[in-house]
Amino acid sequence: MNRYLKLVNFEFNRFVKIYVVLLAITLITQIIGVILKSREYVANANEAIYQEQLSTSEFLSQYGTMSFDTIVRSVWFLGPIALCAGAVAFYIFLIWYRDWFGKNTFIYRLLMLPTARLNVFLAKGTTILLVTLGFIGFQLIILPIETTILKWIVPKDFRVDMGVHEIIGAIPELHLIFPQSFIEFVLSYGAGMMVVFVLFTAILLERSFRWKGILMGVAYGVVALFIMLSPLLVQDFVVDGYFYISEMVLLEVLVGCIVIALSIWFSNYLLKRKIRV
Amino acid sequence: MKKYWKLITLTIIIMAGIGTFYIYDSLAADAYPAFTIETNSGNEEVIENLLINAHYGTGQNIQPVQITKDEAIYANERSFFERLDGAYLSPERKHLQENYRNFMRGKAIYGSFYEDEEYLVYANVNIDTSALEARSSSIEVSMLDKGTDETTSFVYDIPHSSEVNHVALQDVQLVNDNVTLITQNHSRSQGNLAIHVYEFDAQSHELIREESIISDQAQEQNQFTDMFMLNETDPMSSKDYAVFRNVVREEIRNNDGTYSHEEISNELIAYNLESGKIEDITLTEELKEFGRVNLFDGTNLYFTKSIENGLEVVSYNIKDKKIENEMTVELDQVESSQAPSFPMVNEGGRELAHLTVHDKNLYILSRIGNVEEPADLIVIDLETEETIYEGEISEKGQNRDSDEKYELTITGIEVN
Repeated sequence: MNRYLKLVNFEFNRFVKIYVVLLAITLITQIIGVILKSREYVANANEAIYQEQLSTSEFLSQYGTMSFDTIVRSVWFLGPIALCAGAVAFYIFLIWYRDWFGKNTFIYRLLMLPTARLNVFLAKGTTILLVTLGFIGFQLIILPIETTILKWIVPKDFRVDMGVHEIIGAIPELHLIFPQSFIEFVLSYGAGMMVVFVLFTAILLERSFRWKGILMGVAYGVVALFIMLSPLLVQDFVVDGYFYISEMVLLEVLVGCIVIALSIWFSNYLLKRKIRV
Repeated sequence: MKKYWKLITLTIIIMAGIGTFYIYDSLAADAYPAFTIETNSGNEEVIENLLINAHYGTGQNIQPVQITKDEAIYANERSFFERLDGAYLSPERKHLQENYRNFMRGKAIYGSFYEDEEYLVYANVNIDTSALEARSSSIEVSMLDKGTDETTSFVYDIPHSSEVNHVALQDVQLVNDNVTLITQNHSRSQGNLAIHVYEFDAQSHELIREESIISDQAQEQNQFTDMFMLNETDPMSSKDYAVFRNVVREEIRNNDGTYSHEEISNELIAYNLESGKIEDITLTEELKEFGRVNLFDGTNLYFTKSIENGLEVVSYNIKDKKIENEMTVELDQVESSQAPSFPMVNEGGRELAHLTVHDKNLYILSRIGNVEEPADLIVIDLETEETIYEGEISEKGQNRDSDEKYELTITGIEVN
């Protein structure tokens, strides 16, 4: 356990500089977005009311009120989220390959540590999970700050205030990263970790068998996908809608656990017997 | 410990951000107003099983809400698994899924159900869309014998012909031990809509009778027919009649080149399920002036008309061909709202109130446009024509900040 924690700490510390930069970019870009979008709205209102002589209510019926979901839909808000998501996706690969291609093949030392090699694998997976959840947690913490800034700039009569839940509720595209209930959160990120473990296994296959390994990695991905789809295929083609949707979700959780277990077992085998340094 | 501080900070960010988000979630329920039915006078028992479907909120953030005597449950307060199977959406589905969980497996939600003391019958029309040209349809029927807990199923392939292009199931009934299906059949040739009856022997599963009971009456190229079955208050129960509205419209070319539609005939047709015969519904001139009837409880039709301070309600018994009740109901607020709903009083596009009938009691709910105005709920005993219950839908507890622009829109009421 201690070894594992040390490895997690070690892996996170290797990424922490880029991580802090990404968090800073998110905070700054989103706050700039809030200020610009709010000011733009206030400027429109001023122009309409003072120059076009509209009354407040006429302006509101023509342009609508200002609320935070307008900002969320802008590139100022979604851009940094996309950047962070892209960074995590990239790092899933980099977290392994940097050990081979960095200065003095570091993987050699990692694998020589007096601990189970599986701990290296699990520590890398944990790091990806923590980094992802950190982005989500950080975003949820800065959202109330951003809505407060909107309140400073736009007068009360011109805005509709939204809570964090309402903001995310209003944008269905965000439901996958910010699920509305805790169960969905666990399911969403559980599925995410399953994908990460499948990708890790494919990476280890490539590291073990190089060119041939790429094909094997792709094949493993296809097998995992097929296992995940199997309850759906059975439901549609074999039992003709026999299962209730809630039962289907439980079946998917079950096969998801099978895929995770299979990936960990297979990776353990590869790390122990086949890996090439 | 010290060397772990970065990892600990990260964990704190995760706990604080995500933790508060989901803990707040369980508290958020309080953010929505708690609507309840408040009794002013009368017996509360009659509203024990009353369910009001509504939407709350404006613009981007609209929450479906179900209001009962004691509580208002918003859709996002349902648990994840409750939302998945959707049983809470209708008490009927909940009843079926809870009591006949295995029978209900693989049953399409848009299928039709019939239930009496002995049997539960499910029917659905499957359309094979894989073949582009000749679309073949089949009727699927499942029957549960509640006594023996045995399920029998059969499939009937509707013979492909130029006459039948699309079959839409309207209702399933068990009449004299025969499974009777009422469908709306569209044919390939233009303007050919018909109401069909398919009757199967419940034991041998053989088709006994297939008949077109109402046919298209559009004569000209520019005439269009609309034929539909009136929804009843309790679609699953056994009934004496199926009632259809048959409307023929004519397309008229205006001087400015646009088109408009004019109604050239509009009639109500009753089909006696027992005898298998069409019976005319002849309405008095006075009744014809009433708003469109949309409420039907299997025996009686309910006509409504708004008057100065309320509603005039007339019920018409199809079997005896006579008016059963004729009364006026005082309502404070009969005004327009935009709630699209069924069944309700609709007059010239203005929706006035929601109605339903259960156990010879007529339920009337005046519309709600705004939370600040409570809606009135009145229950009238149709046998004595007396008001047995009076109440209102209002917000329990603290008043909302009046600046917030929220609205409660009622979409329907039902009693189960």
